[in-house]
Amino acid sequence: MAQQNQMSYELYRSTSVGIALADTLDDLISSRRIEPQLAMKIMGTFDESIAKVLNDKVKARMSFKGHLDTYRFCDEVWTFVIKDIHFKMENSSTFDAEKIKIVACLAKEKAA
Amino acid sequence: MTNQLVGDVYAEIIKEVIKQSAEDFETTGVGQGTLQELQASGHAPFLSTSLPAQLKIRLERLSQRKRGCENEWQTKLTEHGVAQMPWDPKPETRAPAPAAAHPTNATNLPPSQYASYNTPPSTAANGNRVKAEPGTDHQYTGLPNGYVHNGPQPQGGSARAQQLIQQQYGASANASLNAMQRAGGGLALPGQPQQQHGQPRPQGLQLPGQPQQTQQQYAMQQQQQAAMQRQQPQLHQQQQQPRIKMENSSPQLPQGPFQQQQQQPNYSQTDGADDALGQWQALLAERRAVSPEQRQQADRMMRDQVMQSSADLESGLMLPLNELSSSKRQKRGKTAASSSKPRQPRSDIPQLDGVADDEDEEKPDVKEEDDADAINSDLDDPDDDGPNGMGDEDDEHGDTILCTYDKVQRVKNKWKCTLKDGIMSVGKKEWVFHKGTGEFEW
Repeated sequence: MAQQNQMSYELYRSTSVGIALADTLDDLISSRRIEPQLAMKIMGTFDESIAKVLNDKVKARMSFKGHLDTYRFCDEVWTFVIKDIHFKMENSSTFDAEKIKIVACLAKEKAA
Repeated sequence: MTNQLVGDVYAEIIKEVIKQSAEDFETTGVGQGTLQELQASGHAPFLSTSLPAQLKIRLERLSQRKRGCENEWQTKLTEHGVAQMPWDPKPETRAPAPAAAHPTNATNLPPSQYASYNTPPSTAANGNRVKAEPGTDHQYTGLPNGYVHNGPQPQGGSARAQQLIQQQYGASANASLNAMQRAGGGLALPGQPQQQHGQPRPQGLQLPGQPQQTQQQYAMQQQQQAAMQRQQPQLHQQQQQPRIKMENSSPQLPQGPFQQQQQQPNYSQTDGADDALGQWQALLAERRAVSPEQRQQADRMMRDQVMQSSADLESGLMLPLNELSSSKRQKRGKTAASSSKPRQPRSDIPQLDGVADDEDEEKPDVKEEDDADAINSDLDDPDDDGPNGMGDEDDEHGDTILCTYDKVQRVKNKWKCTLKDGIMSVGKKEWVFHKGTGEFEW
């Protein structure tokens, strides 16, 4: 479903928006209001849309430091587990997290 | 990069998806039905007049569905509580739970919201109210009020202690009770709340009315006195006095249950945030955890069934049919008995070596035990951290950043990476960023 004319990642499906959408679609399916195929298609649309919106609308920056616990690079996907991580936001607010997992897919300029 | 931004971005995403999916809605929804009709209309031209109308109705229905989807999505997202969403009505969002959990994120809700939940001050709540269930009205009592409420606990205790003394020792105890009240003299006088500190102990001993006072009584009395003194500064003092006087004048203890009844609503929450928040959070967590749990349950059920059927097969295989059912029942009874047996003695022996590390199969969240008996397939392992296992499970108890990367560099053990278009979820809160840079060492 992700391989339409432009490639988009399914990565963002596990964000709260994605989960909420999946739940909603699941409800719709189980109440027989839509077909599962439509739901799949909508999830595909979601993949594209979220990438597009994130690219167009979001301007915020942030930086972080921490201790790398685990790293993995497989199929062009980086996975880091970072501990004792310290975030710095754009508005100079900071906060810490004990452990965070970063899943990063290759950013493709041409795709976006 | 405020949390506020997340709501807008998500709203944008929802809008975008709905817009993009409009076509799909129409093609799938209208498609099957209408295409057939169109086909049919080729054969029967008279139908074509009504066709546009039908299409219109369908489209309307579709758009309703679409809107339903959108609304539901929005409410679902609100339930996640990761940020203040633009479509939420400000005053009664469900966001308070995460907001309370992470007070640093002040963008979310004005703290004044909690004030509206507070019950009126405790003076009104104390004496006159008849039996309110704790946990209904007082659930939302804020912390500041909680301190005011604090008094009744010793009060209730002392009242009960008095009652107990009277029940156990009857009339003879009245003397000691009287003494106790005299010892805590200020209690009976409304005007002078705090001047009697310190004396009661020796006084209580010297009083003439209590020659047969046992040591136990004495200890109890001391407790009561201490409790009473503690409650002195409280607002409830005034209500307390008439009760005690009544006790003096009528020694038959009719006031016991009455007092207790009045104490009940006064137990307030003093140990932090209210239960409702906790309940809500539990509910949220439960909702999210439902899939792994269900999987485990299903696994367990399947295993049980397989074992059962194999056991049945074993026992029933060599038997004639008419004996089969009875032997089955025996077998089942045996397994049931054996499974319940080992648990019984355990309850008799007190556990002294720490928390019970339960090997019983009762607990749904014990995973290790399951693994020992399971088929040992990868699917059984809940801790499996494969690249596919990072999906929903991680989201609920792990903080994640989902993003794309521009470049990742490493020099020796120093790493640098540039991330883009990320959604970061830390502690049930979410942030979005366009660009993020990270430095970390391995």
